[in-house]
Order: sequence, then structure tokens, then C-alpha cells
Amino acid sequence: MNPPAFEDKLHLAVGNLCDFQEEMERAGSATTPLPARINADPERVEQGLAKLVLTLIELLRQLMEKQALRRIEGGSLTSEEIERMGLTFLRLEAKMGELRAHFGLSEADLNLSLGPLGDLM
Amino acid sequence: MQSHYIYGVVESQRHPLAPDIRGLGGMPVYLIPWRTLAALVSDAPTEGYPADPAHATCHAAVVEAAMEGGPILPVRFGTLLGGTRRVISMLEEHSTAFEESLQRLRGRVEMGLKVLWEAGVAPPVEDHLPSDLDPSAGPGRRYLFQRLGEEQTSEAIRVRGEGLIQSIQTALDPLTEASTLRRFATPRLLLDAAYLVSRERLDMFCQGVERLEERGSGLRYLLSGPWPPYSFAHPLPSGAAMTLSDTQTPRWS
Repeated sequence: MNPPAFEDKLHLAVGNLCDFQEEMERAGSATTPLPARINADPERVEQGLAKLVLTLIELLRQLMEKQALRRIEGGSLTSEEIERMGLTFLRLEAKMGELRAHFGLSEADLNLSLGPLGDLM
Repeated sequence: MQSHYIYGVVESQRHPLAPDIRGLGGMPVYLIPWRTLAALVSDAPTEGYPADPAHATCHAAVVEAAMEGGPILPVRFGTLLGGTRRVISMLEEHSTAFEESLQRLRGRVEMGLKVLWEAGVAPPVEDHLPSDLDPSAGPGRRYLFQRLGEEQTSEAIRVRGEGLIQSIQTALDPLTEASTLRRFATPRLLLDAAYLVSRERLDMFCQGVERLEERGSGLRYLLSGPWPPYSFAHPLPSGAAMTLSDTQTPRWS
């Protein structure tokens, strides 16, 4: 029996096939939800917990930042208020960077699948 | 206990498979019928088969060969059922859903379409600050206005993408029976779609995609098929079958 000729299945391919393959692999790994269980390995439990906590903080930070952007767009804030909020967010982001570095986590580690809303990042 | 490896659910009255079609492990592929339905199976060891390209290709070849002789509800690679009685009770239990799905898929095939665009990966604009921003603005205001600009840019890109997807759908919808769309799966993968197309309209559908390509809106298309309608067949209900885990340890759910 001959294996099916998969080349015959290709009707139209514009550009390099590898580009499509790369994106499909990326799409497959992009939507990893929170792990089904937390790794309770004593060596790594601290990092696992830090990841969970920092992810939640990052979610709240982004929600608050979006809220602030909406209020700026709405024009309900004075320049001083914007400046004060901006400084807070700026420092919070810097602090998050320090904490991530401390626990050896990258920005992508704090991603979260929000179901139908897509990914956090 | 003897296990059955299942390729799909078909109608019991159908064109026979070509005799040279062999299943996994070189085993003969045959039907276990129950009334109008039948399971397309081959005998298998209880530990199943490792998930490697050779086995996956063999699975695909059997499903594709079966597709030529009538509608099939393809089952994904790696599904084992127990003895003959277990297979029959599975057919019996879900007979209504299987019959409806086979009816719906008769004479229809699945076509896959992937669309890449480069707008999603355009280099980020460094400076989003509005031109009328007070030059004396402090770091806090600069930060928030920068974020606002970034957000507006990505929103504009998303709206443009939605418009492109909409125009693809408008062109292809009249040529298809059903579709599943995944939008913006990655910044570059604008659309990952599967279409259910009747065989008579297959050429028209392919020409429709070619016309889209000729519009030349900077999109790159990958059109493939005809495939068995994996995206449009109801999967085996959970509990009906055992799926091999990566470790090859059989577990009955």
C-alpha cells in the first residue's frame, strides 16, 4: 500500500512552507493554560508559588493600567493625577521586573490563558 | 484481552475498503457493525502503538482510504477500545449522534486554510507620545501616554485584521457548509480555519481561495485538503474510549 501523497493535498502555498509550520508550532504552545497541578518538588515549590502569585499580581496590574488608560481617554483626569498614577505604574512595573528576576522567571512565564478572552500577554 | 484500535465510525452499508489497506502493525482493517453503523478497526495489542510519524501516517492513510467509500467520523490517532462487545455498546450508546453526524458529513470533505500576515509583527513604534504632549510632562505622564499609544496601535491592527478575516469569510462562506475559525492564534497567524466543503463545490472553493490570493493584500495563504472532516466530526465522547498517553501506559477512563 502506498502512503497517501501529502504533496497532493497542497493546493496553494504562497511563500515558504516553513513559515506556516513555525507559526503553527507557536500557536500550539501559546495557549498553555495554568498547569493542571503545581509542582510540589521541595526544590521548586518556591518558584512555583512565586509564579502563581506574580501572575495574579500582573493580571491586576494590567487591569488597573487599562482602567487608567480608559480614564485618560475619557478626559476625567488632571495632568497631576495622570502624572501620579503614571509614576505608580512605572514603579510597579520596575518592581515586578525585580521580583521576576529574583525568582528566575521570564515575562512569558507569567502568561495566563483567559479562556475566550485570549491570553494575558 | 484483545483490544481494537479504532480509525473511525462509518456506515455498515458502504463500499468495502481496498484489500491492500493494512492497519497499524500490518493488521487487517475490518468493520464491526451494529445496525446502520460500524466501527472501522484493526486488532491491536492492549498496550497500543507508540505515537511516532510512521504509525500516525498509517492511521491517516486508513482514514483517507475509508473516506473514498462513504462518510466517516474520523477518530484521532491513538484510540483503543476493548473487546467486540465494548465496541458495539459504544456504537449503540451514541448511535443517534453518530448517525446524525454521518448524515451531515456525507459527500463533504474538510479543507484547511492558514493565512499569514506581516502587519501583526510590524516592528514596534518606539515613540507613541502624542505630538501635543506638554514637553515638561514628567515620567509618569510619559509612561501612561506611551502605553496608551501602544494600545491604540495594536487595537488598530486588530481592527484591520478583523476586516481582512471578514472579507475572507464573505468570499468563502457561500462555497462552504460550515467553518471553524481561529483568529490571531499568533501575531503572525491571522487565521487558522477549517471549512466543510461538498465534493461538487471543491473546485469552486479552491478557485475562490485563489481569487483571494490574487487580490494581493499582502496576505499569504496555505490551502490544503481534502482531509477527513476531523474538525467537524464529534469526537468520541469521553469515557467511550481509552487514549494512549505518552507513556504508553493503558488507562481506562
